Formats: sequence, C-alpha cells, structure tokens
Amino acid sequence: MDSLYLLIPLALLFTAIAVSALFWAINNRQYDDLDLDGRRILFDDDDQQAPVPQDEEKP
Amino acid sequence: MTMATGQQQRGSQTETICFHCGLAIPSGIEISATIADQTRQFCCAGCAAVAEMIAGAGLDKYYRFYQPAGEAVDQQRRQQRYQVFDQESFQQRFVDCRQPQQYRLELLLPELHCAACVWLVERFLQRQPGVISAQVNLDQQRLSLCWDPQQTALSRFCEYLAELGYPPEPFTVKQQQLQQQQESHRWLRRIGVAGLGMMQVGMFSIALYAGELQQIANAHRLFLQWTSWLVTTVVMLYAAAPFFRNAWLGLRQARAVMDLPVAVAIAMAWLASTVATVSGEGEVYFDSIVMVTFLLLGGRYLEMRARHSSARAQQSLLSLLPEMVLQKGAAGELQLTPLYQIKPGDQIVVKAGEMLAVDGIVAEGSSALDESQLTGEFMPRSCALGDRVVAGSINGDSMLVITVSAVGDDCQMAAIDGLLQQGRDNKPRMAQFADRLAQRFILLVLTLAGLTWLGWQWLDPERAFAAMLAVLVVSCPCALALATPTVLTVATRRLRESGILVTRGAVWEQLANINHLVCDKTGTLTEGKLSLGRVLPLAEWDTAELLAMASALEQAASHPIAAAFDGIKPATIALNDWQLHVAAGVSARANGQLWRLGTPTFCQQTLALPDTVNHWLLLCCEQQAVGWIEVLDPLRADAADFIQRIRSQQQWPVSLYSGDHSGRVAAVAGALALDQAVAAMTPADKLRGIQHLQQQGHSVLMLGDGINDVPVLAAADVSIAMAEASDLAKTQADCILLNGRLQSVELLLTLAAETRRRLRQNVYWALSYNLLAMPLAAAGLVPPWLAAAGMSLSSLVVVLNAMRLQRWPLPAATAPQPLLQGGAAHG
Repeated sequence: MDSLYLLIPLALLFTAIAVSALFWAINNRQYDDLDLDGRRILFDDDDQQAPVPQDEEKP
Repeated sequence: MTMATGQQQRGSQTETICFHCGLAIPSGIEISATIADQTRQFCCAGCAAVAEMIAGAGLDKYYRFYQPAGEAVDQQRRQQRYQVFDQESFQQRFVDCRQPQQYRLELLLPELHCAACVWLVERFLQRQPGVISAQVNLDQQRLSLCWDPQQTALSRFCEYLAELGYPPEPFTVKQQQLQQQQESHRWLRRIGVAGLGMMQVGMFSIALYAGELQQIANAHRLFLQWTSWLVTTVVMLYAAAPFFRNAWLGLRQARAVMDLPVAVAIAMAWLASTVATVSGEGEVYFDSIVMVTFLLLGGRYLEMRARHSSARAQQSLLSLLPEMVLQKGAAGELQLTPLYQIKPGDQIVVKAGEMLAVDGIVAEGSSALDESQLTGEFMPRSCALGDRVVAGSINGDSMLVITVSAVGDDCQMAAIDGLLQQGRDNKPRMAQFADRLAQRFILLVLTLAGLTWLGWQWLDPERAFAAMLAVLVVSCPCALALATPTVLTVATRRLRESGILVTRGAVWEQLANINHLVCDKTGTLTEGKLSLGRVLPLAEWDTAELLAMASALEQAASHPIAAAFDGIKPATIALNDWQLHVAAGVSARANGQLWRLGTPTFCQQTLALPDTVNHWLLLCCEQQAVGWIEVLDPLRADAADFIQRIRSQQQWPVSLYSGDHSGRVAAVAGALALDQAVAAMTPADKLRGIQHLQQQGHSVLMLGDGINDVPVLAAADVSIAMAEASDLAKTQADCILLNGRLQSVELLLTLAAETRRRLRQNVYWALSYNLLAMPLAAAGLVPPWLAAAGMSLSSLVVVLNAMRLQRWPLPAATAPQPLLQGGAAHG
C-alpha cells in the first residue's frame, strides 16, 4: 500500500496540470459561445475547396 | 488628467490604465496611439480617438498638466481613480448634464449580485446629501444616479461605493459586454477548480469511508486526510472566496445575506476537519465542503448566465446602431462621418439593407422599412417623402435620404429603454414579498442551526456537528431569492420581443383582477388613418373645387381629419383668421367670406346628415351649405375577432367610449357586438365613465392611443396604449403596444396569467423545499453533501421553470376578416 505515497501526489500533479490547461482554455475564450462552436461545423469552407476543373464549367 | 499613467506604469506591473479615462485596460485589448511623441495605451477606440483628436488640435498640453505627488498608495490611487469622474471630459462623455442641478449618470457595479446588495447601495446613496435618486437594475448591474453636482461631487459617491465593496465603472454597453465576459470567465475558473478538487477529494473520501469499515492503517488514514486538507483548502480559498467576501460585506453592514449560512457552514466544517486531521481523531468533512462549493457555484453560474442573456437581449439598440454614417453635404457630396458628429438637421444617406442610425424625416426616395427590432412587427412599413422614420429600423430595397431629427439619447429607442427600465424597477407585490421573506429566513436558519447543535449535544454529541452543518447548507434561501426576479426578467423579455412594453411592474398582478374592457375608437378599434370617401356637392361647386377648398382649410390643422386631406392639392386662396374649434371644425375668411368646415351644428345649419352611419363634414360659405365630404375610418382587420375572443375567453363586458359625434360609433358597436357604446364623450366624460364603473365594483382595463387620453388612462386600473414607435415620447400608459396588433393584448393577458402562475409556483416550491428539508436535516437524516446537492437542485428548478416562459407562443392566429368600410350598408 505504500505505492499510495507516490500515486496520490502524482494524481495531484496531474490535477494541477489539468487546472492550468482549463485556465488557459477559459482565458482563451474557448467557452464563451458554446452554441456558435457547435454550429461552426456547418459553415461552408469555400476558400479551401479544390478549384473546379475549367472544362466542366461552360454549358 | 491621468498623467499618473506614465509614472504608474513604471510602478505597478499588473495594472495598465487607459491614458485618457484612467480605467483599467482589460487584458486582451491592445489599442495604442502616439500622443506627444510617446506611445500610449487606451482601453477602447473611443478613448484613443478622443486623445488623438485633442492632440491633433494641438491641445496635448492638456495631458501634461497634472502630475501626481509621489507614489500612489492604494487609498490615494482609488481616490484619484474616481477624481477622474469629476473632470469635464468624463462628464461630457458619460453624464447627462442637461439640467444644471440634476446630473444623471449610469454606473456599472460589477460586484452587485443579489437583492441585498441592491438594497444596500440604494439605501446608502439615498441617505447621502445631494443625491436626488439612486436606482439599481440588478440584471444589468446598473445604477442610475441622479444628483446635484453643486452639493456633492460624483467622485465622492464613487468612493463610497468602492468602500462598500462595489467599485463603479461608467456604464457603456461595450463595457458591460466586457464585464460580462470577465465575470463569466471568473466563474468558470472557480467552477473548474472546485469541480476538479471535488473529484480528487471525493476519491480520497471513498478511500477513507472504506477504510473505516476495513481498519485502515493510521499512517494511511492521516496521509489521505492531509492530502484532502490540501486540496480542500485550495478550493476553499480560491473557489469559495466569493461566498466569504459577500458574507463579510453583509456582516459589516449588519445585513444577513444569502451567503452567510454557506460561509459559516464551510468555515466551521473546515475548522473542525483541520482540528480532526491535526489531532488524528474525529470526523472530517472535506468532501462536503468541496461539494457544497462546487454545486453552489454551479447554481450561481446558471443564474449569472440567465442574467447575462437577459441583459444582452434587452441591450440598448443604440449599441447596435452603425458607428459611421454616410452624410450628405450641402453641395451633395457624400462623406463617411462618425455617428456622434451628426446633428439634427444634417442629411444622411441610407442604402438598401442598412440600419438607420438616427430618427428623421424622409427627404428623398421611398422604400419599405423593417421595424421589427422596435415593434416586433415583421411586415415592412412603406415610407415616402415626409414620413417619419426611427433609428433601429432596417431599410428595404431602395436608397433613402433622411433629414436627421434626433440622434443618440434623443432617439425613440432611448425612450423605449427608459420605459422598460421604469417597468422593471417597480416590482409586483409577490416579488417584494419574496425579497422580504428571504431576509428574515436567513436569521431563522442561523438560529435553527444553533438549536440543532445544542439539541444533539444532549442526544448524541457525535452527530451534532454534521446535523448543524446540514441545516446550514440545506436551508440557504437561494431558491427563494431567485424565484421571482428570473420569472419577471424572462416574461418582460418575451413581451418585448413581440413589441409590448410593460412600464409599470404592478401590471402583472392587476391584470388578474380586470373584469371590464373599455376601448377608445379612433386609432384603437379603427386604423386611425382617415381617408376621404364620397363627396356630395349641394351648390354649383364641383367635387374638385370642394375638396380643394376643404384642403386649404385643413392645411393648418394637425388633427387626424386634416391628415385625410393630405393628398388633395389645396386651393390657392389666401386665408385669414384661421381658427380651430375643438370637436366642431375649422373656420377661416377668404375674400371676405367666412368659410366653415365641420359638424352641421358648427356651420349653423339644420341640414340632416346624408346618412347616420358615417362621419360627414359640411363645408359652408357664410350661411350657405356648399357640400358634404365623407371621412372614412376603417375598422382594424383583427378587431372583430379580438372582441369576440375577449368576450368568450375572458368573459368581460366591452364598452366603447368615443369622442366621435357621428353615427359611426353606433355602427362600430353594432359590427363588433359591444355591450355598450357612448359617443360624443369629452375626456372629462370618459374619466367620469371609468370612475362610475369602478364605483360599481368593476376593475377597468382601458385600451387607448396613449396620447390624447392621458388622464383617462391614468384612472383606469390597467391601461394599454396602441402607439407608433415614433410617438413613444408622448405615450403614457402601463403597457405600450408597438406593433399595432390587437392580438398583442391577448398575448399580454395570457402571458401575465402564466407569469403569475410561475411566480406562485416558484415561491411555493422554494418555501416548501426549505420547510421540508430543514427538519430532516435537523434530525440528522441528511448528510451535508446531500444537503448541498438538494439546495442547488432547488435553485436550478426555479431558474429553469422561469426560463421556460421564453418560449411562450403567440395566441392562435386570427383568420383574415373582410375590411369593414364606413360605406357598408347597415340594417
């Protein structure tokens, strides 16, 4: 059971890392508009599409 | 000014202050400009623009004047910080100085978060010499202060507020958004720490509980307890700090605030657990502490979000107006100008699809305007030369040139906000009752907790502490304090979206007692826009000449009847001695002859009207009748349906009080199947009529146009005005309908009934939960962590119940009715 003396401080260390990561994310405004981020996947990515081959354009 | 900035930036590492206004620059904002050969930091583009303007005018000496003496001590700096508020530049920007002895200012108090704070701030300020009024809006954390600057300086009030624990900032909408964002981030960080801490301590607690059953080794037990202590202390000092701060501030003012039982519970639990850990014996309550903290923070965060989104929804449209407009100069040249430079009389160009930034009159062009932001009405309103338009409406498909009539705070938008503010500041009785109850409750809770502890000492001392803790936690009246404000906030917002403004809070309750509806005719049941119908000449004059003469006579009148003649070209004849005779007609001299246009009695004729149904004007010259002109006033399309539904659903008698003399009144009453119709009433008659009804025991709801019948509206138990957005400043009624639909009255009635129901539900729920849970906790049946969960859940229920009001639907749409014209034959 003496592994407890190692594992628990380790757990606390991970918690501290998690807290700092959370703080960073909050300060970086990642939690500001949760609705928008959900809809963001529906936005069109027009400028990232591959260019359409020219000869298919004109009717 | 804030020359301090130069020195202070070197002295303090953390706080940068705007070079212009002296407020702290929020992190993430990096706006700088070069003033007098040095780069300076600013808190917003506005400050930077003003500073550049001052420097550009060669006045940057202004910034060199005042140097602070020595280093800034905290107290000194705070005083200096608010001394900025007394200075001319600040006052010009933020203070309404129109009346020399009554300055008005809106301040943001970000530390306000409960009714007790509001009470404190309002009471304290109202006792200060020089304060004329101090009113707080909790949802927006806004203080509206009116004071006499010659008695006390603004900075003094701000220092007091800061000492009370509510440092003020000028209330600008952008500032508010920033504040909201910062507040939201703070809460999220605290919740994050509390949540992660709770998981850790929870894990350790499970080990400890298991250990109790399975004979854990002492060394291990102590180790687990100490690590729990570590995590709990961090959580308590960081995440639970707001509870302690509020409780302390409340105690300093001898007020029992919502957070007091919580703070006491957490502090005592921590002390007891620390002692137990150090001495190696006794119960520890670390898991309860972190759980209480986390759940309470969660509940508060939800309440904060509801408050923020309501504030955003009610955000002044002034903040959504475009900052730059296209100004048309005298020579016709177009120039992009900042909005604050526009004055009444200027001309601006509004392109298709743009939002109008000003109130004004159309000078060129014609288009359709979408006024839904103001009135909730989505049907566009067409406008042409000479029509009035308001800021906040969106231009349709054609370009317009507008002559500006009002900008900024003079816009109708500001009037709406003012009316809404008024409505929210006087609360219905049930809300006041809940507020008072919450205060007394807290003292009761503390007493009961003490008694519980004493009681258990006698029965079984080991359980005394846990029971007392449970009582303290479970009975925090958070739900009670949240029960009413959230409901009212959401209900008001729902109405606002449909173009209904509630300007007096007591309306919610009074609508329940109404049992009689009194309507005005013109403009309420009818469209209010008069038009011309038939013309019956009686002499040799023909129709066109008749109309031209009548139009000339009505030119100078601003009566609705005169508006009917707007399209007719007036006769080019000189008129002298023009007079308006109230409720009779107009008269004037032309070529020496006395012309009259109005009622037959006014024209001193005994001719019979062509028919008794419609409104006829008689035109006569000297003693000879020249012709009849019919004036049409069609009923509103939804009027018949509306009356029918009021009678069937509400079972109210409906009366019509009209100042109109014609048979039109009886015709309308017949068409709508009203119970009573009285014509030819003067305002005094109407007032007497309402008072008579009230003496008979009726509670009267008056529906009018809000402008011409103010005393009558004031006499009614509840008054509703059908107003146009452009007339708001003159409208005085308890509720104002902006979208011209009678259906809105139905929405108001149903929503008011539902709001009352929710208010009752919430208060009863909060009360019963507390009354039920406290005995259980006192009896030791509720462990502290369960108490925390229960208390947060009850707050959650109350808030969610209120928020459901937001989706309240419109009443079923009315079927289209054939327009009832004045010329329709009646049996």
